[in-house]
Amino acid sequence: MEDRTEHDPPANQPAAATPPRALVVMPAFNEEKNLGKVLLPLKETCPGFDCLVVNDGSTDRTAAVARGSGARVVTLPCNLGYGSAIKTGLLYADRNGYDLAVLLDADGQHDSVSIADLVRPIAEGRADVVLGNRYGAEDRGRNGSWLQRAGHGYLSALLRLLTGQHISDPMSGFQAISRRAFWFYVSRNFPEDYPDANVLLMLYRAGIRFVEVPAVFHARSAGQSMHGGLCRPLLYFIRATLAILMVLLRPKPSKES
Amino acid sequence: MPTPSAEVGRITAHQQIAVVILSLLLLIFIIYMVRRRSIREEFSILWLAAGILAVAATVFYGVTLAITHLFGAVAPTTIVFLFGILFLVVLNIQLTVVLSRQTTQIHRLTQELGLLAERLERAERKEET
Repeated sequence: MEDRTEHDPPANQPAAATPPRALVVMPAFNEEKNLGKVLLPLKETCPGFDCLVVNDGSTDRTAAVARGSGARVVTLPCNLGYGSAIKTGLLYADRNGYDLAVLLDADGQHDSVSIADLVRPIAEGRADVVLGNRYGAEDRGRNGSWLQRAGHGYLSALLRLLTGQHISDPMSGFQAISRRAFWFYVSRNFPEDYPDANVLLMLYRAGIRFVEVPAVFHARSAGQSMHGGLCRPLLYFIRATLAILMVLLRPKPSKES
Repeated sequence: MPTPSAEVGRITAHQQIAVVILSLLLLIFIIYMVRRRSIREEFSILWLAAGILAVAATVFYGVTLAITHLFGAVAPTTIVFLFGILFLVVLNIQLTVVLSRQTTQIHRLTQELGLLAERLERAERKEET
């Protein structure tokens, strides 16, 4: 990770002369135990990337751990939740002239070795948003509980119906986002309170191209996940369905809205 | 269509005075709260309208009876309760709207605050070196 202290506004940047500037965005809420382990391999897995930890109102030493590992830290004074933290990260990327942002979970679920694969379709100009697929190419169905797989299968089918595109892991938070798609994430269209499969439908309606690539996922090493229990996942999919219906009721997102 | 009978539809002067006094007390309280800025003007409109309507429904009792008839209700009390509950529902919706708007505003402010603090910190560090 290079420590760049100077940030040029995007307009002043020569288009082809400099390599694309990339930012790893890690939303973190009380992740002091996992964060260090996630930040450590980043220097090797994605050299030249800056790393931003969005410290989402943590009450532990998350910010100190992040700074100690050489990451940039934006601290939100109170806990706003995952979606708002992501938006903060993309606001940062947009304003500081980055060409690319990679969303990486601070809890170690996403393996940074896959970042290179995630970035490739954007570099080749094939997509604006790339999703990491935890089911991989061959071992589909091996990871996750049956409930989670059933939910993903359902959302996947629903999205296929609405967008004609097959995404096997529609709830993946492991994403690479091109500058071309930043406007959507920093606009009021982005559902901060509920960013999920509905985001993919919004991207489709906004004309932002997305693809899926296999990525390496791990089980959480410490602490509680966002979607535990039996009742909560069920409620989750009801909400996800409602959120998707709501997207269809709204006008298509555009840069002007 | 059932019509309000003379028996259930009647109101005494005693009852009218009691309701008008209660409604006026509510109105005065709301005006007092707006005056000392405990309630913002934008939120006071619904409350003031409710108070005024309560007074009007009692003073112009014929109108209340006509509305009762219009809705096909037997007793005017039904209409009074119906509109009372409707008012509470609308008020709750308004509160939810305001709450949602404020949540969005707080989130935006918090994000900007976080981003600004980071920028400041970076600028200060640069100055030191």
